[in-house]
Amino acid sequence: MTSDAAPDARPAGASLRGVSFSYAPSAGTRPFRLEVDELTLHAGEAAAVIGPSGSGKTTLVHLCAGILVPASGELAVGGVRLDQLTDAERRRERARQVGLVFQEFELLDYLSALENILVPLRVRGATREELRAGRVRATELAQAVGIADLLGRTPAQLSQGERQRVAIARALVTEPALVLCDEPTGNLDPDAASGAVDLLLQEARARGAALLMVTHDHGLLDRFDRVLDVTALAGSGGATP
Amino acid sequence: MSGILFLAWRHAAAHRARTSILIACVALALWVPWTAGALAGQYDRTLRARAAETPLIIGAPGNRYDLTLAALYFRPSRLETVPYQELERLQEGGKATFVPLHMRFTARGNPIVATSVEYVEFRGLEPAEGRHALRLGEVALGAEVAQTLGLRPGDALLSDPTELYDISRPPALKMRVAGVYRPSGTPDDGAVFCDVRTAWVLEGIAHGHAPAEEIDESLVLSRAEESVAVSGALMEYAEVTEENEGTFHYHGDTALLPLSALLAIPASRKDGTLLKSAVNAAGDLQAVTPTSVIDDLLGVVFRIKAFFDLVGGFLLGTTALLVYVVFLLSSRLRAAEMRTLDRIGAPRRVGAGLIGLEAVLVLLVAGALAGGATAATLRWLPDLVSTF
Repeated sequence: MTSDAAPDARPAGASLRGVSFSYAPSAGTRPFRLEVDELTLHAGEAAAVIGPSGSGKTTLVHLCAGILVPASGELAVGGVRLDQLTDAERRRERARQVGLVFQEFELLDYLSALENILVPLRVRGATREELRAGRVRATELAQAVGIADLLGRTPAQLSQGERQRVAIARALVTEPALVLCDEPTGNLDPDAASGAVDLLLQEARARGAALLMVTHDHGLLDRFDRVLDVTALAGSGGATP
Repeated sequence: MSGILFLAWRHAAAHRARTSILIACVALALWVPWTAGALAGQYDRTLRARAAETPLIIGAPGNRYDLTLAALYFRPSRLETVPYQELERLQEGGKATFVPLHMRFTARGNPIVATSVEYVEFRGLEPAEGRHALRLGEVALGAEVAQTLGLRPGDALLSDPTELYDISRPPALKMRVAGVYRPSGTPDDGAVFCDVRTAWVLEGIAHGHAPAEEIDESLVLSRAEESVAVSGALMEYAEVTEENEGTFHYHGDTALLPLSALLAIPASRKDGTLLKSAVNAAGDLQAVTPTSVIDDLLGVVFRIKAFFDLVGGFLLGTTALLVYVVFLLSSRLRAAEMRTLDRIGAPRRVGAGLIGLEAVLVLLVAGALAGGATAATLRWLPDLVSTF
C-alpha cells in the first residue's frame, strides 16, 4: 500500500478492519480472495485505487458500498457498521450514506436529468419534504457542475460529458459520507476525464465526503490525497486472484 | 413505494406507444366478456320483469315469440289479427279482465299502441301532464317519446303513412296529444297510446266525412232510401275534431274489427290456468304465459352468451400471455437499469416491483377504459329487446 499521511483529526467516512471476502470457486472460474487489514477514509479525503485487472478493485468498491458483505471483519460507513445490518437495512444505509458513480454513468433513459439526480432519494422512499429539499440540492449541484440549463433533458439529449456531470450530481445529492467511483473516466477523452476528476474531487471535498475512486489513469493520481494499491491492502498482498 | 411507483409511471409514460397498445389490448379483452355479461344480464332482467308482470297473452295462432314480444315490447311484427268479437266472447266467460291491443302503426317511428284505459291502469301509467287518451284521435305519449319529439299536451302528432303510393289507403291521421306519462323504465316509455277506435281509423275501417245530405251532388253516384253511394274523390277527414267527431263511423261488421292481441288478467291462478286451457283447446286462438316464452327465449340468449364467454376467455388468455411476454422481455431489456437501482440502494426485488407496478397501472387504466366502454355500450346500443 502506498499513501500519503491521512489527516487523523477528521471523522471517518469509511473504515474497513480485518475484512476478508472471497468468491466461492465454481466451474470455469478461479477462486478469488480479498483481504483488507486496515483502511480508513476520513471525511473530505480522496483516495485512488489502482491495481491490475481482476485484482479486486471493483470488489473493494462493492464492499465499501455494502453491496457485498465480508465473510469477516468490520466495515463502517459514516459511523454505521454495515456488516452488522440486515440486507434491507444495508440498502437503506447505502442509499443514504453512499454516492456511486459508474463507468457507464448508468442514467435511466426515461427520466430527465433532474429526475435522474433525484433517483437515490426516490428509491429510498424519501418523504415529500425530503424530495423538496433534494430538489433544491439537485439544482445547486447542477449549477455547480454546469448543467443547470439541461435539467429537463433526457440522457439521450445530453453529451457524454454532460451525462457524466448528471451522474456526479446524482452521487452527491443525498450528501453522502462516502462517494465511490468505479472507473468513472473510462469512457471519456483525456481532457474530459481530467475535468471530471477535478469536478468530483472539488464537489466531494466541498461537501465533506470521503471519496474512493478506482482508476487506471495514472496521470490523475497526483490529485488524490492517497493512492491505494489493492494488491497491497493486506500485509502480504491484499488480493489473491 | 411511492418512489418505485413514480419510476413505473415515468417508464410507462415515456414508452407511450407500447403502453397504449398494451392498454388497448387488455381493455378490449376485458370489454368483450364484460359487455356480453352485462348485456345478457340486462336482457335477462328486462325481459323477465316485464314478462313476470303479465299473466297471459292471447293472440291468433302463430309464432308465440312474435306474439309475446309484440304484446310486451311492441316489437314490430305481422301478427294475424284477432276479431273484436273474440274479446267480447272471452269477457262473457268472466274468468279475467281482457285488455285489447292493436299495434300495427307508428307515429314518427314510435309504435302506436291502441288499447283501452284498462291497459294504463294495469301497467300503472300515470300522466305527468294532461290525461289519458280517451277520445277518438287523441294520444297519450310515453315519457321518452314526448322528450324525443318535444311534444306536450295540446300538440299534434301525425301517424306514419303505411302505403305512400296507394291512394285508396287512408292518409296520415293528425292526432292530438292529450297527455304525457311519467317515465316507467319500461317499453311503455317509447310508445304512443291511443284508444282502439283510433287504430281502426288508421286502418281505414272507420272514417269521417261530411254528412250525406251535405255532400256535393257532383260526388254522389246514387241515392237509395237507406244509403248514398259517393265517389272515391270524397275527402275523408284527416283529423278528428270536436266538430267532426260525430261523423266518424264504421262500414263493416264491428264484430270483426281487428286487434293484434289481448292481455288477460285472470282473477286467480286457477282462472288463468282454466282460461289458457280453454283457449288453447278451442284452437282458433292461442294463449301463452309470457314467463315460459321468455324462459325459452333466454335459453337461446344464454347459449349465445356462453359462446361469447368462450371467445372472451380465449381473448383474455391470449392477451394475458401477450402482456406476460411483453413484461418478460421488458424486464430483460431493463436488467441493467435494475442492477443500477439495486446498487444505488433500492429495495430488494425492485425490478419485480417496477414491472409489477407498471403492469398494475396498465391493468387499472385498461380496466377503467373497459368499464367506461361497457357502460357506453349499454347506454348507446339500440334497445336490443325491440331489435331482437
